[in-house]
Amino acid sequence: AVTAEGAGAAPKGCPKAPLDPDHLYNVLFVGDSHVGKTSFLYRLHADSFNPNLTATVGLDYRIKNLVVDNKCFALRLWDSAGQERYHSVTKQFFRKADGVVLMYDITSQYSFSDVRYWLSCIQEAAEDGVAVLLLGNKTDCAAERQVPVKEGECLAKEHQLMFYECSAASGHNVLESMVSFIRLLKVREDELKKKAEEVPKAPQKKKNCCW
Amino acid sequence: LASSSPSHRLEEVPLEVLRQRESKWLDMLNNWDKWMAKKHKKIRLRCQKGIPPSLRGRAWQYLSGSKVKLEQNMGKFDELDLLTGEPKWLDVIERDLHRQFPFHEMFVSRGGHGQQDLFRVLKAYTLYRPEEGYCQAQAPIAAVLLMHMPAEQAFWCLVQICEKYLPGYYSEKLEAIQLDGQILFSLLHKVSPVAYKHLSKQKIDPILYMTEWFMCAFSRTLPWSSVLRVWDMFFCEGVKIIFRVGLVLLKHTLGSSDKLKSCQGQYETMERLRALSPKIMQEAFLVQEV
Repeated sequence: AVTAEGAGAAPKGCPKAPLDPDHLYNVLFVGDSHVGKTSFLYRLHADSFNPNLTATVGLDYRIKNLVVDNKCFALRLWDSAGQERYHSVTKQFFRKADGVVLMYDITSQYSFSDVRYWLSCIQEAAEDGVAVLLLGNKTDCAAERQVPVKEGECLAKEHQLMFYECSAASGHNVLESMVSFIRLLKVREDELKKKAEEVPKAPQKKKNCCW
Repeated sequence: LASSSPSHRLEEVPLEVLRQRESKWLDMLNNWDKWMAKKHKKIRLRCQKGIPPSLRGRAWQYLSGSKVKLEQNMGKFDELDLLTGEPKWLDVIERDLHRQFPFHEMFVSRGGHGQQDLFRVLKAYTLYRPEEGYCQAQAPIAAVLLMHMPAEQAFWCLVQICEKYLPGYYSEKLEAIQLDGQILFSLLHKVSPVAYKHLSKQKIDPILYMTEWFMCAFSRTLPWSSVLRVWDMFFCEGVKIIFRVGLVLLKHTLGSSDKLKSCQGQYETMERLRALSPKIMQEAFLVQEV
């Protein structure tokens, strides 16, 4: 759950210089074209909705600094073109991602069906155990909803993904989902650090032995 | 010539000069084959100076060879226009229509003439080359063409761009654009070793900054008057103009140690390349450098 405090403090930005965050994560946005990846990033960045964004060609990026639990996080948000043919271009950037945001459009069953395709792309090209946030966008268009919340939840559960529904147009859950995702990324980072600390112990012992 | 005076716009060409250029271009267009065969250099020079706006659409069709292509394929566009098209392409095209130059009067209204023609042109292409279908970067290209010519002419001009000028840029695996990214980067080595070294050191893949530049032929990057001047030269000389413009932008953004002071990290550099200085994109400066 997102505390009001965490979300409320976040848009104020980092108290420290943005170049010197406590943690830095690369987050890649994927999903079909027109689901709202660029709009989501625009909302996060400018806290407003821009209905005139053009289709992303190739790869774009934004930086967002957020304060969560009194720590400063810098997010490098990579916005990938949704059209399938761009995948050959963006594929190489999956590996650098600490987290992937997989977005679909709740008013498009088609974009939801494609989530499985995108999951296979993540499996194939990203690091094992990369954190994934499944994000159903456009909750403001409730009348045109084609994908029930339940279906999103189920799919997320099945693949052990974090799940939110949001609206880049209204701002609903945009910051909240990012704050939760940051906490997940932090947990993952701590786990990895622990593992990394455990590994070098073995060769050190060896060294002592030889001595 | 104009380098010392800032912010030149197209309409600032003195009226007499413009009239003179128009009559020269009319003469060229009326005797096109002769000019192409014997005075190609002169055509190139005149394209560099900028095609008069009143004749630009016609000139682009002559330069690209789309005029001939249309004449060889009379009725073909109408034929494609009557077909329904494949739903998977139509869906993506339709969702892109209102996103091309939304502030241009031609494309401002949903279902208006501009958007309708854009749909017809892009749909016709998916039927003309079903194995390629529709690539989202084709929409801004087609939109710029439609600002200068009717739908049928724009269609054949788009065909020429996709097949002759930028072959493979929009097809299935986008291999051509990735290759041209590498070529651009190796050319940069010669043109600006400082910028090359900087981008190498920070491991910034060309794909990150040149994809939109090249695939949209700078139509989304440069100020409008510069787009038109670049396209005038592009239609005459081909893809090398796109490379040269890219090199000029890179060189003048990252080409000296002074400029690099504010590009300490990968992301500062990327930010710089995304928000290019208006000075270097300005028509007179850019054209002179290219």
